[in-house]
Amino acid sequence: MGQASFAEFTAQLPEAECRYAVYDFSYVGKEGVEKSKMFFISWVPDVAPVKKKMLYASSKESFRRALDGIQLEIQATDPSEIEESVLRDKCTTVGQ
Amino acid sequence: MSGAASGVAVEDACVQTYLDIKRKRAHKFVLYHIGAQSKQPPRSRSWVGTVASGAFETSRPASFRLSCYAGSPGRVFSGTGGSTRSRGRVSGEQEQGSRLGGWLSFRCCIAGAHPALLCSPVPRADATTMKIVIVHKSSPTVRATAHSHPHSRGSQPCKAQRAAPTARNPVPDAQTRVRRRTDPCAPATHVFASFGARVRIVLPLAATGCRPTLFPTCVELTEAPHVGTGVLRGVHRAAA
Repeated sequence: MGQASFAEFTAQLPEAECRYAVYDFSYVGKEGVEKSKMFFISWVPDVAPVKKKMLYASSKESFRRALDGIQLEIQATDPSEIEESVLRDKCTTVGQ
Repeated sequence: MSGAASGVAVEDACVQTYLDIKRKRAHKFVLYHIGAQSKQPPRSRSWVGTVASGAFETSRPASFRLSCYAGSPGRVFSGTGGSTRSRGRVSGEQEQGSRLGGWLSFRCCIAGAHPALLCSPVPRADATTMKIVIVHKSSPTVRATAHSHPHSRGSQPCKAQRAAPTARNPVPDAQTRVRRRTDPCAPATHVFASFGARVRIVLPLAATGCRPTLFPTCVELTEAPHVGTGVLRGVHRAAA
């Protein structure tokens, strides 16, 4: 469940360009109830141009503020930092 | 124009799509990028518009901007300005303690430099002297100034140093390297600033007409020890 779209999502992230993303992540909570959390993801790969990285870093907060109701945030510089398990961990550690 | 404070204007379409995803579950994800305008066609059903970058990309001839890439995304110093002055604000992440500060290390690059400025030997010395004024929130007085002139020491209490290349420095891309070579100044300046401090950059008149860009070389976040000196005591996060 959800796996196809998550793979689809990560595939859309360009290798050497920065992006912001919002992902509606659903997972199964402790009681077996399906839940979902809104993730704000800033994708700033190491190989992106320095100027872009600066721009995205400096604009992130204000952009995030424009999106009301974001629950969790991930800053990723590497594909390994955007994996389903990472998101799920975040969801569970933050609490129910 | 929400979020205009940091120079980024967010198009309504961006927010609207976000609301779609939030309320109606219309999509699973949305991607955003910063650009003058979106030329990229939708690549998937969930692809959405742009965050128009507004002030960041303006090419007013005598304006310049500064932004600081602070080691990790999110710890940011940024500001935009026109004419020969720019004000910025050191902002920390919300989660950070209010007493954190950072060593801001600037490098002044003249991005869209007037050719005469780069070629003529005369205005160089002037053009490279850039004053960075840190005004701490707790006190309206100028607490530190630094000159980015290669031979300038900067005035106390701020120590102005040449930035040593460190592993934290972003690797300059080819473009930056070229600029550094042609750039008459490219001096690096270290300034300690706490989050919440206001920063004013004053360029000499000789630099009017060009668009210098301050390239941060590194920012190292430092913690409590600096608070203990009393220099930063009572300084709090910027209140927007």
